[in-house]
Amino acid sequence: MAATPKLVQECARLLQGKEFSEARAAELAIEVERLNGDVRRAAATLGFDDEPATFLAVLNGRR
Amino acid sequence: MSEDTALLGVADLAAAIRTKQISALEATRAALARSEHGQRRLNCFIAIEAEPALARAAELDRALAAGRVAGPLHGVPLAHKDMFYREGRISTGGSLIRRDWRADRTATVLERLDAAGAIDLGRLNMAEFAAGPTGHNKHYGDCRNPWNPAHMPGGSSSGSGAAVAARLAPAALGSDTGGSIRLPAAACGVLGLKPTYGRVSRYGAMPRSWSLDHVGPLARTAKDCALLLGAIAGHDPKDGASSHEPVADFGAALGKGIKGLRIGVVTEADGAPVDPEVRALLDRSVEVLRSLGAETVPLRLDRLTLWFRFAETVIKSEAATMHGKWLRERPQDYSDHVRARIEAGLVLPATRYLEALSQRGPELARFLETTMAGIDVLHCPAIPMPIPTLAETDVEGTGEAVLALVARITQFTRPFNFLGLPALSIPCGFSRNGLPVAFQAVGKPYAEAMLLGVADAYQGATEWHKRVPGG
Repeated sequence: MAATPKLVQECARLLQGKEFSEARAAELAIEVERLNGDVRRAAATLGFDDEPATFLAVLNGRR
Repeated sequence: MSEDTALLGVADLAAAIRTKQISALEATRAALARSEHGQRRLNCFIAIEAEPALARAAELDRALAAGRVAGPLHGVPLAHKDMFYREGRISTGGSLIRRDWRADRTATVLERLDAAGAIDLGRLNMAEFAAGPTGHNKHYGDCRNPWNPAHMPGGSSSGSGAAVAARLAPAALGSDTGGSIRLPAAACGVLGLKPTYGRVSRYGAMPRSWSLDHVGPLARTAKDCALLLGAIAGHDPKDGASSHEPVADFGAALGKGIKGLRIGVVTEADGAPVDPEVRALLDRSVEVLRSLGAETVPLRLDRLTLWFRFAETVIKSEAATMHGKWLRERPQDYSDHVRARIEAGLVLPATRYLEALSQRGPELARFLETTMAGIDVLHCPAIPMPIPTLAETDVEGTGEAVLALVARITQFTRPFNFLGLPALSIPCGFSRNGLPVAFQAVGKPYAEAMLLGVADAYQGATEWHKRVPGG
């Protein structure tokens, strides 16, 4: 597992100023691993020029 | 005002007031009386605000007597989810943290409803910070389903769904980030419209997730939904994501029928099972649409779970950003489950968030070019199981099974927040437990009028929307 409870605890403490118990960090590690993994795998399809603002262009350009 | 008049919808009530069959004051008094009575059973208000409502009604009656009609909603008493700000007034967002917070601005949607002549009866119950699809609220008490108070009314616009279904208000505004208009509409048996992203201003509406938040109406008929949407839609320079698309006549497709309309019916979706009892009612709704002249095509959605994950990543990242300070300084003031829904966003990499957002354009383009090619409207479940009880879905301090059940509730709604497409929840029957079942009609960008046309045709051929809880 890439997102371990220890990593979650450290990131939260060092980067966000937020303390998580070991038990809570373990739950969060599962959640973060799932989302991080799914989105990261899907990102392989993104091109260099893809960007968030494309969404509004598509929404407003296709009826 | 008779009991029958109190049961009128928006359009009929507005007509009765305009033609002076009843006054705005009479209509408001009747709605307040029903609300105070209904509140004891359903807890769908956080605050009933009788005094300002009656003062406003009297003012509108004086204007009408002087020949001035404010707009199409002149004198119609409405009520809205307690997250639309009105300057100087409390707006709790269903939270303890904002229990006494007074807004520093007025939401554009409230300004527009005011200009159209509507009256506010009070502030409706909702999930804490609009985070939760069931109707639970630890701080203000759970909202209850008017068809059976033991069951969940859906959320997060729980009070909006319950109040409209129970005929306490003829219509209400809600907000929808993962299904929060469509779910309570489905659970309570009314229409709930999430418009296209940017169609309705979010200015002055409490944020849940900037990229996925939508504001829209809940009402009992397509005509009433069209009236409300017409009043609130349109560009707003105060909302950076607001669309410049001209405001359509949202009632244009009403009464025109749906002959020849091509409807893609979702018969399979990856990882999203549909309860057989709900499936049977959905199938029957498809038969009705076909009998009205629509052509139906079976479809499979195979990216539903992925869109769900993208949306989840965006919501958690944005919510953790806006709640970060409070999460650090006063975590004890959140319900456990609301805090738990946000916290992962504190440790998700920013690159994952931006990758999820960057997928929106390509995913929407692909969906429109493939699944929606040759299709006008998509038909799919709103809530894929019979409406569970509040006890079955109480996530405060409970285990994995409850969390899994609650996650299933939003499986078919949240993906369309990610795609930003208009989606309308339309009641289509009752399951054996006596609770409503609904289907969703999803359209192409800015196709709200078409969706309302589908609802109007369906309601013209069925009687579900005429049933009254306890009636």
